[in-house]
Amino acid sequence: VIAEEFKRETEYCTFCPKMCRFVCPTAIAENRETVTPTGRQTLLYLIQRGGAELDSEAAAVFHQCTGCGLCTEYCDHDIEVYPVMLSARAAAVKEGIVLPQTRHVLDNYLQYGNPYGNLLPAYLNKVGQRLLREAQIFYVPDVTAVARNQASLDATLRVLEKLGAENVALWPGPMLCSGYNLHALGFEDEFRAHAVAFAEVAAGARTLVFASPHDALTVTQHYPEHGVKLDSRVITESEWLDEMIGKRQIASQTQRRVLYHDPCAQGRGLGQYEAPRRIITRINGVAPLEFSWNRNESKCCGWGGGYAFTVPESAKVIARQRIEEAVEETPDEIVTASPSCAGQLQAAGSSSVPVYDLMSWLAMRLS
Amino acid sequence: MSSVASLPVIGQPVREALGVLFGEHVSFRKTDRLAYHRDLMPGSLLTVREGEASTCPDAIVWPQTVQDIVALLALANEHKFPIVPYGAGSSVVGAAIPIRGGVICDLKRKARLVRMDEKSLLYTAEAGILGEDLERKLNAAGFTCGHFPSSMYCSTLGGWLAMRSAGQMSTRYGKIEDLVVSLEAVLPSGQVIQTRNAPRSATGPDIDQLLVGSEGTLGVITRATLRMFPLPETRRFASAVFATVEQGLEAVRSIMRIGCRPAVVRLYDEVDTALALSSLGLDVTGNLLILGYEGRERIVSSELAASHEALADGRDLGEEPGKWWFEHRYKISYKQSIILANDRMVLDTLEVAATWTRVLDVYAAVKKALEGYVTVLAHFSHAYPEGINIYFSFVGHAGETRPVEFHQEMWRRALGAVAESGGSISHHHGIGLLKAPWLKRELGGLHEAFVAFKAELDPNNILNPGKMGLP
Repeated sequence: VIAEEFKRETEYCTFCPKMCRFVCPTAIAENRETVTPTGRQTLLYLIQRGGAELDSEAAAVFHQCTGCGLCTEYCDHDIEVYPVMLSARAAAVKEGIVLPQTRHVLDNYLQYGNPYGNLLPAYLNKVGQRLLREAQIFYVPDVTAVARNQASLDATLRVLEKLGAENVALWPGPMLCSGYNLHALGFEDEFRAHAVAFAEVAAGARTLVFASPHDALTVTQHYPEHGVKLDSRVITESEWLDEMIGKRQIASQTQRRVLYHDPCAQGRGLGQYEAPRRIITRINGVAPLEFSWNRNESKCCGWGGGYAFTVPESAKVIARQRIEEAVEETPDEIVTASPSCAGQLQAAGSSSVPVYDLMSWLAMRLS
Repeated sequence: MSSVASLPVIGQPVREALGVLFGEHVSFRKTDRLAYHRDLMPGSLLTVREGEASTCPDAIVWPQTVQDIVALLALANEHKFPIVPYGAGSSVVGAAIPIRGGVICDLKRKARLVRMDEKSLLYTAEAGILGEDLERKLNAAGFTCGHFPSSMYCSTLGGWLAMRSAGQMSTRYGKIEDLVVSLEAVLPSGQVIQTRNAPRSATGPDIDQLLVGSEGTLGVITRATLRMFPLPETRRFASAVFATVEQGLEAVRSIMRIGCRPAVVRLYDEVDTALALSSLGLDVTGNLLILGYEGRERIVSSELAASHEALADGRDLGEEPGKWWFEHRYKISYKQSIILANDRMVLDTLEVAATWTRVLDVYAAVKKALEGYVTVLAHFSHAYPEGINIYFSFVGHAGETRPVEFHQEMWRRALGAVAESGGSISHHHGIGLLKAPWLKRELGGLHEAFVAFKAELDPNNILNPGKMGLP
């Protein structure tokens, strides 16, 4: 029986009057009852009882969840739907049901240690000088940003120089991320192997700084679930920057209308809301503007949960809806603590408002 | 998955035509068909609980324009297949269940707040907009829709209109039929009608009121203009506990009689009070009455003062129970999951309207009919000068009986008691499948006229057939 360990979650959502459907990003983007938390869980419930089959069509439904967790904010029972969907996805993979659009992601992970392909040579070339140092701190970039544009690393290097960051090396690879998308897409065995390999490289590092809150969430929450434990202190990029900037004199006070987007993984996932806001306030001179849906009620950008791989068009719809919400606040720019989220919002492409990840924004404003 | 695999009502030519009309916005996938096979009628959830799906639709379409719907209805008339208009599927009486297959017409792509006329206090919105989205958009401009069903998070404007729904503050703001000013709808023939915005008119029978509550059987409501209200300056509560239901009802009746318009009127009977007050941590027995007023401070103060005179027979509990209720006003909907997760339990709710002359008879009759069968809780809400709604909640254990059958018997007893004691079988949930047999009894010869009218308007019987006791 698939997702057996989530009996309560599946039953409660199946019999719920869809109290969270109005905040579910996939339900809103697709207007389909099938992909509401209730719809997905009802399908799972019926499969468990022989009323439906676990096939590729059903597996596709289980992939229609970004893992944003906003549904839980509107659940009196604190049901977390995403872990149930992850379990169902993994069960489908074990049955040999792999969605065609996820196969190349798996292949890239197996061959190159990341979801996008052969990024390592160019990456090493770019960050070489930072690799050579003896370091106590590893900075793990966001592989989605790296894949999109290797130049994004320049911003990181500039900020590290500007802030005089000592004892910091960039992550040496060969795998360039935590394996978040392996986990999200249900490739559990491959994820476990990836996690073990990642932990071997990380061994001995005092601190791991993750540019991607999705990676930070993965190593702190999902690695232990798979028996992999990191000895290092794990912090997000914004926590780390907040620590460093907090000690320094900052000249830049740009006073722009900066709108901050909480990445789901950083906010609801890791419970971190204030560090990026403090950084923006410090650099900009005024506190960031807020979306009407912010902090623990922040809406998703569509990137998480493997959704941008499995249903890219709907993921863009979700991003466009977030941009539309942003425009109502008339910002000069949008900043988010996740480079992946920034890329997703940029790709929505319908707005004249620029979107930056925190590091890129900082590189720009500090210069 | 026999129901998904059952013989389709629509053939290949219709499938192809739907593909041409709707492109990527039509689905024949079995997962979608399964998702749309039920609404929130507890009886249909009991079937799901047994691991079964009843009849599934053959397809789901998501129109974006009125012309899409016109074309869909033309196709349905030509090939004679059913169309079930669908908002968010929150009907608790089976109104959105595609009992004869056919095509679900999901209106959620039509979900814009089109305009606000702040001077006339009107807004126009498309039928597929979700309640909470609508309210937040109006709030951002300083207004409220005044309509707060407990399904606020999971129901649409079109659904409210089609089912003749009520919000928790309907005593002040009115039910949806009081709020609607004009409608756009597509009739079964494909004719698009748009009624005129006017505060009132004497231009013959009210077409809006014919379509409101027609549950998708007479037309597809596509947009509507409704009244809105400035956000209240203040919101204040009063509460008292009464020794008997009768005393509590007398208090409400006298408040309505002197012309007060509380937003919230909720008189809980002893069983329901025990539940409500235990959540509040208050150790009080009796029948709790919560009154809530909102609007301009001076008016609210006057109404509260006037109401206090009517509460003299009760014991004053202050503002706290009302504030607590307001903070938790949608929470009751979450309880359903806890009960239905137990595979022998059944539950349901029944909302009946009765005049002040009849209300105690109806209340007693329903309690008696279900005595020893299920636990009955009740509160009285949605008050009028002429009477009030009784909202019963039933919870029971099916024992050795199949829960679906136990549930059916519960309804037979409850609605039989309502009919015999002079209540109306629905105040705001509508009829759908669940109450259809009793609708004929309540309407008598009028139901035959309704059937004849429907046949005239929809000769091919394409719109939501089999609901409301219609063929």
